[in-house]
Amino acid sequence: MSRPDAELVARCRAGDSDAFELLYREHSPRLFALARRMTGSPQESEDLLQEIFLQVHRKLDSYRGEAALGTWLYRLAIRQCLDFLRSRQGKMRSASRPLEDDSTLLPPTRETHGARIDIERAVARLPEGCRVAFVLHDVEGLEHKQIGEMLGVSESTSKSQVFKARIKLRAMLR
Amino acid sequence: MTHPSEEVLNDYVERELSPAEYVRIATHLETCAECALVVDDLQHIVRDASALGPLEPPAHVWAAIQERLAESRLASESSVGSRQSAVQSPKSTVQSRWTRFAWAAATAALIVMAFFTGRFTYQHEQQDAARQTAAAGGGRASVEDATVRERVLLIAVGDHLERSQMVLVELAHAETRGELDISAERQLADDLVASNRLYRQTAQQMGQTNVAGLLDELERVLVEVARGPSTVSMGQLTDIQQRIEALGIVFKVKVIGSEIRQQPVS
Repeated sequence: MSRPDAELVARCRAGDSDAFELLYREHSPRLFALARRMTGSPQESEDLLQEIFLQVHRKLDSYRGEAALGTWLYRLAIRQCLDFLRSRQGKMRSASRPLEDDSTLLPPTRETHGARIDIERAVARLPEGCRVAFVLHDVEGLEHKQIGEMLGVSESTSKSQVFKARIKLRAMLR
Repeated sequence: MTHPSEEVLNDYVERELSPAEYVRIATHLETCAECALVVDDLQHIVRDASALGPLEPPAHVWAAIQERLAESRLASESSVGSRQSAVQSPKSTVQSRWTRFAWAAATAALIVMAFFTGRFTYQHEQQDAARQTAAAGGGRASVEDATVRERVLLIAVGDHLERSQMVLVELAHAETRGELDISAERQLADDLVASNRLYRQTAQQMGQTNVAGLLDELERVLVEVARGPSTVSMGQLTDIQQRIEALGIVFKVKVIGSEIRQQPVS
């Protein structure tokens, strides 16, 4: 654990709310982007980000510093995102969301402009199965083997889903 | 000219082809604008996707997290110390609400119970006199007395059901991807169990079998929540929700509660 991480975690564990806010400010943009792209929904990603940080708050005591704090948070966030998607699949909620729902559009930020806005919108409109594999592989840079393990599918299924996503994105972005 | 499939072109982008196949596709792309465009588009998508960066969450998300952390902290503080200490933190508005709520429920139950205990005692002691009065006055006073008692019970039970419904609905609609702190609901269920028992016994004595039956079912659910853990996993929450759903208890509470509230005041 790096010294700044160790100090921040120690302050959070001691109940220092300013420290927890600092942790949130530092790490939430990356985790929010992950949640937004994994769910494809602004509202759900906000709810999910809340859940992620409430979970972080509860589990911070179990952080041993074996990985960097950012990595630990990122792993926890991915697990939360996948749990959420499984829960949503169970409730068949995603089926009722219209494909062309404009609520999936992202607000402008410093990072999203030009072609990136287009790809953000298009990714949000992908079917869930291939969107998740695409986000984990092409956006987050995970290997197909890791993705297969996380999703409980084979490596070749992960590859196939990413391929499908690219072909659909190509059709949307042309 | 035979074009390679999109899947093969994707493998070319991914560099997952054998060296010989890679050279064959590269040679094809030099002379086929159509396939070259597919490859160019796929490469753009991969490049743009990998360049997607962090996104600043809306400000209200942090506010909501703070609020939920405060609620959770207060709930856990209260479950440990609220019964031992009358001193509360100025921030404990949420828990104060639950505590006041629980005390109101318990107090109402005790008042109603006291009322009925008094009535029954009085009725027992004055049984002969009442019979004489009924015989002499055609039983009018006795009927009115029974109507008032029944009305008081139903008003109190209606209020109790409304409180119970709030707890059940919160639990039935709760969602979690990990663990969920239900200590506030658990505390309230614990307080409602005592009131519920009093109302159930009174309803039985009054011959209100429908109400007594509902309160019996409600009591089992409340006891289950009250004796359960303060923090539940997704699986445990699902079990509670399935139990609530299987009994149809929220629906029954709504229907009987609504019927009670719609009855005209005597």
